[in-house]
Amino acid sequence: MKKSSKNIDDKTRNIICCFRQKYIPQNVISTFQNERGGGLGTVFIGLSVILLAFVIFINIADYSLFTYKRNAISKAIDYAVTSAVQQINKNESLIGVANGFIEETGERKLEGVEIDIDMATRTFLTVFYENYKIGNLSIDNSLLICATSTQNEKLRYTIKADSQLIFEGELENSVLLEEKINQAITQYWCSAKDNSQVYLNGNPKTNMLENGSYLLAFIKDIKIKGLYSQRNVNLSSFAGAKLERQ
Amino acid sequence: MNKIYAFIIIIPLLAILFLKTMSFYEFDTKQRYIKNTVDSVAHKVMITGVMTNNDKDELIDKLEKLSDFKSEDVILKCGYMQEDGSMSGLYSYVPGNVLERGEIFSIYVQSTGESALSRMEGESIGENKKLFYKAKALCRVEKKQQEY
Repeated sequence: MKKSSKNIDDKTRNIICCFRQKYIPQNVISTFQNERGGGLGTVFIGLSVILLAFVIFINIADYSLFTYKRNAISKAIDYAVTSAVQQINKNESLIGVANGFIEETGERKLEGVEIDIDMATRTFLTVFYENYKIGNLSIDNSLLICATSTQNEKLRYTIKADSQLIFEGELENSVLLEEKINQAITQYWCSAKDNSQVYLNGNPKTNMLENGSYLLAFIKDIKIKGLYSQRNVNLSSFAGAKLERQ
Repeated sequence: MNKIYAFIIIIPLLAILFLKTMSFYEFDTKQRYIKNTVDSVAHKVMITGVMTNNDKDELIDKLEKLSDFKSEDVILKCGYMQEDGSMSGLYSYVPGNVLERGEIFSIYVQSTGESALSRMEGESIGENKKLFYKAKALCRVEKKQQEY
């Protein structure tokens, strides 16, 4: 057994010798083999380590800057969507004691509270840009807004992007809204890939949206630049109108 | 002797790289923490509609631990959202005032002294491009409306 391993070692040594003689100039080999010095070798290895450490540092700094900007944008979207959801269209909403209560039982109901989607979009953009103003970032053409309300126990929805109505209709169950939003994304951005999807509910029992007045904002392909690289990110956020009838 | 020259070159380079990494890490971590702190305050006002004097003192205490912050470095403003979706001019917010649903609350903090990273980089980042710790949050009060 020992003999065979020795043979392998010899073979490997021969291969390395041939490789050295063929590809590495003799003066370079003698520099590293020089017993008097070896300083150049130390410099070479040292500089390689520094270069490696520098590349790692630059990459970490790049990703760090990217995540900071992404988190700031994400927070700005949250502030914007909670501001925009308050834009209630009073002309179209059911107001008053007679409409606000179920006449038979006297229970309060939150049906018929409509969000003004155009005003909500403008408010969204105002608050977003106030919170995040770095570089020439523009989300005006990358924003898709979906507003919902309840009417006769059905969920009414309106989906708009860049002032253009994409879908409008009624759903029996709020669980079906996710599919409609994803259809709208695919229709509006023909190039939308599978990763440009919104997930509102993992399954019908974990649905995040209930029948009510909600606003969802989806921003596609925000270009976020780190130190040198640029990444595209899709972000979404939604908020309820938080209304209550006395 | 050659090895000594080699170390004279490599060790200072490694030291510079290490110091720059540390100062960047320090700036990044503190900046994130300051932004989170400001966001927490804004979120509280968004839900309750009020920022008390205690809240402001608490905020300044937290910020002072990180960098050189004074009371006047915390700028609080409030205002209204106009009907066309734009914002009215913001005016100073006095801690303790209760904001109503729909009103705007803005908080902006900026450290008095520049960051360690900025001092280390010196003139390379430009005289007017000093790096300060700063964070901003602007939100709309959304406490529940009961009369709609």
